Amino acid sequence: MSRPKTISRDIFAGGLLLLVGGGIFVLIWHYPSGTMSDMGPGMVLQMASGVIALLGIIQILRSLKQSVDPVEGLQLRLVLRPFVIPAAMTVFALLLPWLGLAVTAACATFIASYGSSSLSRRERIVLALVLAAFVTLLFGYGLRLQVPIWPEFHA
Amino acid sequence: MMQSLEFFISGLGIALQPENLLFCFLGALCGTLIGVLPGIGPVATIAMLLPVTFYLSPVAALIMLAGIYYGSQYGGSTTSILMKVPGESASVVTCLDGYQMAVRGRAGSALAIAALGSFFAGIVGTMLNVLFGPEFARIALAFGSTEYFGLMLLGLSISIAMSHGSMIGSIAMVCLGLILGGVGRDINTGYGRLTFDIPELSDGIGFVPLAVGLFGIAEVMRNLEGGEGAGNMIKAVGRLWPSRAEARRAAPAVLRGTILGTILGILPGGGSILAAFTSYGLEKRLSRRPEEFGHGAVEGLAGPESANNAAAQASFIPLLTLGIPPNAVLALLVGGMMIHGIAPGPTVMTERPDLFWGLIASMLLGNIMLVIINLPLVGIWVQFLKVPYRHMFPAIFLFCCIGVFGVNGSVFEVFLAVGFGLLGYVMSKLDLEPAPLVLGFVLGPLIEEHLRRALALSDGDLSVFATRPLAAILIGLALLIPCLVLLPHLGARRREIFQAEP
Amino acid sequence: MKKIATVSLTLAMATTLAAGAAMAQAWPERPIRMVVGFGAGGGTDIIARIVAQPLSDILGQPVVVENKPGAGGTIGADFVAKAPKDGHTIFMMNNGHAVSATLYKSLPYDSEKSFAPVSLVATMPLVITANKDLAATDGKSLIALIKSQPGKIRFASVGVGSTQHFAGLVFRNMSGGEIRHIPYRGTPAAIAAVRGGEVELLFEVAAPVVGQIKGGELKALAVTSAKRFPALPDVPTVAEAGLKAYDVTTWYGLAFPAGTPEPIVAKMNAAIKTALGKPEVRKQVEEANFLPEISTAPAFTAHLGSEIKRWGKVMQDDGIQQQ
Repeated sequence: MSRPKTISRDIFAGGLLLLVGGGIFVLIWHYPSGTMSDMGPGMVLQMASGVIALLGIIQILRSLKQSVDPVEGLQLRLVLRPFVIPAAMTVFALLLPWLGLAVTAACATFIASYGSSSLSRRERIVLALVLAAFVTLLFGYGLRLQVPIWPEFHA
Repeated sequence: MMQSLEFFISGLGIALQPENLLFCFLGALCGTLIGVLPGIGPVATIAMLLPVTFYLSPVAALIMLAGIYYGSQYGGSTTSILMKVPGESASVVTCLDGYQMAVRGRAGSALAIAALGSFFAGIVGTMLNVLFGPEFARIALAFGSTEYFGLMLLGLSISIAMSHGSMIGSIAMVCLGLILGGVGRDINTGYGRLTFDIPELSDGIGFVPLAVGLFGIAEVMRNLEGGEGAGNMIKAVGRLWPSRAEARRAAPAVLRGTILGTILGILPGGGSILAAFTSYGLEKRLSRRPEEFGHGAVEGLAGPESANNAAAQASFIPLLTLGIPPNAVLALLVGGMMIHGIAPGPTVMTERPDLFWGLIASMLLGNIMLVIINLPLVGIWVQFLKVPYRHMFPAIFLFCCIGVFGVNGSVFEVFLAVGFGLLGYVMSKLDLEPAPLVLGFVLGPLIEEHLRRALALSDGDLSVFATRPLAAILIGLALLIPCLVLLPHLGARRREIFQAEP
Repeated sequence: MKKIATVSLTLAMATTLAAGAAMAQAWPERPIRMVVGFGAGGGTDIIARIVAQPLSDILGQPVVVENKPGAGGTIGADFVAKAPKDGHTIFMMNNGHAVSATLYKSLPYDSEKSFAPVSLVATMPLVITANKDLAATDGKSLIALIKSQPGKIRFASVGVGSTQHFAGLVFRNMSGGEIRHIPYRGTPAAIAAVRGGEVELLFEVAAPVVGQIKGGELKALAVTSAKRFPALPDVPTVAEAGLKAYDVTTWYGLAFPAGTPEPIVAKMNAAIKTALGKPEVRKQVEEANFLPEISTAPAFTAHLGSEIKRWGKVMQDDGIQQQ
């Protein structure tokens, strides 16, 4: 059984840690670190990001030594469907100030529903409308969340 | 002590007056609701209701506001168990095993155990406060920055030890949490850290977008991976109430959690999250089945949930006996007192015994009301789980969106939650756990603050951490525990590998 | 309905002065939002809520307090600065507004020109308090103690760039004694630290410490205002301790966005005067440890300007970094 795209997930984790820790360290290395009695804003964060990067290196070295176990390996099969959710959430954030709660909730829920393949278009529309109506009544009129409920078209 | 009991009984008389009883009930009910609903927490609710309390007697006002606070702690566990969306910092721990219980079809018993555990913790915590509260509070005052630093370090150390992933990953996640918690204006110098000149970041990253992203959004994404039916979706509901065996496992955990919560809750800052995490670590160490933790262990839900609620009750003690509120919600109660012309301070207990003991006694009644409100709700919540996931996840999604937006009415925080959702999803792919990150996020800024202040006070002399006895003990324990855990950890790891081989 | 209101509003803004007078006739036609740049339960929030109630009665429209906390109160200030200039949004300003004018490198508004000050509402002195075991009983003995142990005495405040911090700096500069600043996160933490003996002194506004002082847990050494504070009549002022010109008083006042028609400002000023003239309102203000204070709009404008200059100079002299 050949699995060319299987890589130890520990190496990936180590790489990510090195990237994140190192990246943050580069961003903040110019913050003043101060002295022991008067620590600057940089000291603690610089140490923390350094530790992350260091742990990333240790992780990579450790997993290089181990043979890659195909069962524990990471399959690089990218599933796109889940990313509908953050996309729909972004749409929610973009539309809300312009279209108000009711319309935005319906649009975002409709998009989010594409996270599942087993819904018919009619189901998606009904879901979006029902949920939007529910949250509009509950949060918009009931709890008076500080948000426009309907689209507002003035400057 | 006997005198305290006498006062307490007179307080009960005050709390039982019809007006006070009514507002106690309203507070508890309101608290339960806002605990369950996203986007509206106790801080916002109490802030909204403060002006209303102008028209009430000070005792009734405080009883109601207090009820909202501890009621929301009760309600907060519901969404953690059902959807893995933690409402406030301490319920992050409830997300671990509470949600896993629900996944395994035991949502009903998880909710019931959370409610009963909280009830027990509320009652016992209140009584412990009556008997020992003032003494506890005075001890808390002896805690300086050096001691707090040690205590927080110990809490982090326990949480790293308890995690089931690799230790490297956990320490890295704590550090990442610490950095995320450090975003914003540095309180010692006012220096803007990692703010990228975005004004919304100058006050730091909010807890809700972080937690909802890392837990709620990431979980929905994982569940959608296989299209339909794969992943960790919640199974059909089994029995509604806890079985005898579950109850037997939960009881000692509830007791230990209550004691831990009562003690740690008195401390300002991260008291309740510290209590919840420490309780989880403790239960895992004491359990004969540590391998079940993270996969729906009853003790892993019962202990932290009780600790969390006991801490909420205990946090009233420094407010009432010292006049020092230990968290943001109770600071609002101070506002409520000041509106009524009561200066919060050490004299409240002697000058306004009606207020002090009436409020304490009302907490006893409030907890009874809460369990009466919450147990029937378990049956209703469980009905939601019968809805197929393909119809459920859009609702959870929308719930998360509005929840994040509602806290500050900020679209920016919704974007943040998107980022944290992606981060949480990637982390789950790489076996990196979000719980240590959240703990680092909450405790990190406190650790940094206390470390810097301790060193400023000692003029840079590191030996204060060794020469102050209490601090030395705490720091010693913090260093010792990971070493102790490391040995059986290796053993456990070997066993897991062995089991995975058939 | 909403559309009609919007259109009429746009028209009113376009036709400036004449319409301004007409607007003032009808004002207030809707509820007025009183924006507080801090969270509920704090000093600014409490004074806002105390005056909002009688103002609602006088103006015949509800005055609703809205908290817009964040970035040291500048988020709320910015919200008001950019609000419609029709008198339906008002800002509860405090001393922090004058501090933030120089504390921040850039603000999205002009701390003076973006606002139309209406009137002061209240003031509150700060109190220099100490751990009860400190070997000082008043301002004079405190200064002597500080000078006998240079650099040993430390003072807590609620943060760098706070009024409390500045009060300490001014005290240090005028007395010539060496005291070190230790910032805390919020008033409760600072009070706990002084009570526990971690630091010796605390510079804090009066309201949150009066209870601690009366309970004997904190020792009040001096009040920072020019006159003694009625709630603590036995505590001498810093000026009495020999620093004649020392006067740090935090203040609270209401301001509309700049460009709000003059007649509306005048009407609001009169309403505030009436509100604070009522004995029951005064009593409520005083019970919360504020001192009621009213002023004309130009006097408040001048006060704001001089406070901004004053704190800017303190910041420069002490080399406090801009944020």
